Amino acid sequence: MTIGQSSSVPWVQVLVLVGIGVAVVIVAGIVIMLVRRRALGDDLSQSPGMFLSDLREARASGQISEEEYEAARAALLGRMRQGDAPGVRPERDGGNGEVGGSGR
Amino acid sequence: MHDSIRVFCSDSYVNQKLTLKLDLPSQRETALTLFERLRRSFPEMTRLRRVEEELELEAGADADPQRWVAIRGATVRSGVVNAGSSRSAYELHRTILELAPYFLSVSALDVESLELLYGFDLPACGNHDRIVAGTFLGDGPLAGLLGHSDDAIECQPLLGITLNGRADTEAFFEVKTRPDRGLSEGPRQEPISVYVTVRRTGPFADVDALAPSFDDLASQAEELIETRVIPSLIAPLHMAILSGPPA
Repeated sequence: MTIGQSSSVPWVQVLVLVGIGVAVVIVAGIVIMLVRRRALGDDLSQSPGMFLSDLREARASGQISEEEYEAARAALLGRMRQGDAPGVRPERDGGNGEVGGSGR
Repeated sequence: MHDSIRVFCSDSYVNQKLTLKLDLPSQRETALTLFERLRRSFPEMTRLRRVEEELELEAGADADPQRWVAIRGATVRSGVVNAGSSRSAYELHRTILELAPYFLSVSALDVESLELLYGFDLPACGNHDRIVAGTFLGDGPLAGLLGHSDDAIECQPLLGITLNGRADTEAFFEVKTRPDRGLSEGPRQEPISVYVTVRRTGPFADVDALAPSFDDLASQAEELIETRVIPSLIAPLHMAILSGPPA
């Protein structure tokens, strides 16, 4: 065995070990990313935000689809058109009893 | 509108409601002609929808601000969401008042009332009614109704006043809560809304008085919002939301 041969064996082993280490780190990173994405994705799908700016940001970042954006936007604007507010007061003389009747 | 309002609110909107005594003509041409005319002034309003008895024209999903108009029975309603300025918030409403007499055959005799509603949405987690009760009942007599171990489940203050001593002009202040339906494990996203409604009831001298009445109502509403609603309703509510649930 030459000096070159005897010294190349440890280098090969080191390179193999380093390669395995890098592969383990990459795989672990991918697993962590997938788990995180799944967890965050679930949360966002349950509460995508009920404000127009939130909805647009969520759509722009791909957290919600175009269809989800449309549905949430329609619900949001429906509320602003006063589907559920303001309240209705008892009838009064001369009035129609409705406050803030800009609503539906 | 006052710029400071944007510090407190996630969304704000101005809605108008023109209420007539007689139902509007039900022919399709009536609404379509008005909508086509509006679309010339607001090209982003391209979506025509029929929702139950109501015909709606609204802006596309990406339009900013979001504008809509709806006609049903004896009412013409319109709204602008997240307008960047007062001019932008009022342009649609004013245009409708200018066009309605000619496109919808509205006459002065026919006008029951003109109403503007300003809505401000404040994002709030937890029990909305508890937040509102904790903010506004304070040490007043009404607070005595709430025992130490009790939890508020309904607290939506509403105050109506006449403006400037005129019996035909009213303003209403309302705080609207929404129940926590517990559908999501995450933080709730529905807001507490503060509404300011100003309304003028007829008779109006003539249809040309509608636009000036609108200007007058808008001016009074803006002053109310700046001098009363922000300091007395919105700012305290905002502080209570930021400081968390009351003890």
